[in-house]
Amino acid sequence: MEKSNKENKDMDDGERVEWSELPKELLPKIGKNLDTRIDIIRFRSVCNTWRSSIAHFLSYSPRFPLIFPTPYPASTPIRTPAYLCQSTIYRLQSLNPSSTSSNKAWLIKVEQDSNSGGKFRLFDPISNRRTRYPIPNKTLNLFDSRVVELTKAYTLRYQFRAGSSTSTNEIDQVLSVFDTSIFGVNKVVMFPDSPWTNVNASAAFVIFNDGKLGFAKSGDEELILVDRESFDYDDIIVYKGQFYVINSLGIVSWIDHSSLKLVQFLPPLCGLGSQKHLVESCGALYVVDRYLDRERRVENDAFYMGGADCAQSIGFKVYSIRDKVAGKGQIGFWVSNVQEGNVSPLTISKETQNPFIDSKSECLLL
Amino acid sequence: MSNQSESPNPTSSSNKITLKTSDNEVFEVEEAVAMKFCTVKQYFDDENNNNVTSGTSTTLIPLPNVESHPLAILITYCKKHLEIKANNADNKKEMEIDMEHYEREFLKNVMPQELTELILAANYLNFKEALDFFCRAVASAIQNKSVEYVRKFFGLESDFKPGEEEKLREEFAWSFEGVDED
Repeated sequence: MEKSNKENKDMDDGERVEWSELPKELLPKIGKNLDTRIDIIRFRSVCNTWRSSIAHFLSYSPRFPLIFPTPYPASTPIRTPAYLCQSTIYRLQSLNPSSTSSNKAWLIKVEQDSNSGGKFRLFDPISNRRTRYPIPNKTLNLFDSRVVELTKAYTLRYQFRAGSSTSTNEIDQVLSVFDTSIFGVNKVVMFPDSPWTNVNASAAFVIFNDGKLGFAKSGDEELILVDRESFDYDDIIVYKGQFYVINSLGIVSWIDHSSLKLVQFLPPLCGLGSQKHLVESCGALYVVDRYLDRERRVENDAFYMGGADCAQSIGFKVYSIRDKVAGKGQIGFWVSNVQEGNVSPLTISKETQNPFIDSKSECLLL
Repeated sequence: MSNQSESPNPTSSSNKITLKTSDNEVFEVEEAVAMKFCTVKQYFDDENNNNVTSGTSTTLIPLPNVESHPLAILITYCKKHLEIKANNADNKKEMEIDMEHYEREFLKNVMPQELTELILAANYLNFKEALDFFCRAVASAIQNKSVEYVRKFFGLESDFKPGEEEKLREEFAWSFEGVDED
């Protein structure tokens, strides 16, 4: 790139300006458009001028886990607050691949816990189970890697103090697990959430109890039901700074989060699949309709065990929404991994022998 | 792209303002367009205050820090910006969608070295919308890129002392919580 710059400079009679002439006062304006921590760390590592142009992050930006109202205040066995946890999925690739390590890219899912001194926890990006970091010294330096933040994911959990494990009581034994996700919470999204965000300005929506849509802000006492009449919401996503929700009929609406009104965005999709997902890929929004081998919904709320995990996917259909980018080509998909095929996410994670999942298995050819 | 086409005027104003670039090119633009350039607006207002009798006659405004190439692009951008705004006066969401679509197409025709010129010109002209847009564009050009890449892209060298360099690396280190043996 540098070379072609110089060549152009020689070729042009007019004088080309160089980046070095970039006025310092524009650096914060540029830097503030970066909204992932890793990008900000990198920006601040370029040189001293850049480093001093933007802050590391703001003191009032969200730090996870955040205290959050539980969706089931009455039925919770023990009065304990819920926590909103954030995990991030990265694509990782070595910058200087040695002969021993391949040049493969890995998907990793990590969660940083601000309560434990900012330590990271590693999760299997597909099964979502906690995994162990495969390298003995327990650190990973991203300076030597090509790191791309793909997406953030949120979960609601109960957290318990490790101290309770001293009790012999059976319930306490179960609770000595550091944290457990809350049954029946299908999806949590939060926006805005960047190092430049004030945590009080962020809104979070929760789909729980197999289709209820709840809303709260960090620190709120309770979760508000957005829609008191229908409880058939399948998925919610933040797409270009806006919350979009889809119900089981395939009706996509956007949510005006100041008034909590749903505005229907498209005519119903009439997909015949069992479960709808909203997926963003390459700047476009898609609906993935998942076909399952049996009934997804579980009638008995009290013993809800995450119905979607029990039923197996047998196929997918993908619909694009407002397809302005369009075209064919490789699109890295998150939820889906098949071309209307019949591979379930679980199969892929079993096939992969590596501790991280090869990102290639995530590609979907449209 | 840089041609001064006779596109329909998005506003009611029909006054023309003449801008003269550092390479002595003259651009005749609608007043509505020129007024988006705060530097021009300032100059124009000052002129009018000094010369109340000037009326509708064409004003020539010199721009000693702007070349014709970026100016032509900025004028095109500005016209489109006003047009999209006028077409979607009652629907902010639609306006944003159209604008974003236009900006995405726009960037396809802009070389990295042009972006520098544009950002400097927009900065000098104090054309806020364009400046914000170009800063976003630069940010997305360096997003997900390694520190080395960004240094090369901007022709910058690391000026950190060895000790500072070490501290930098620490910011990139993730330490993992121990997971119990199973």
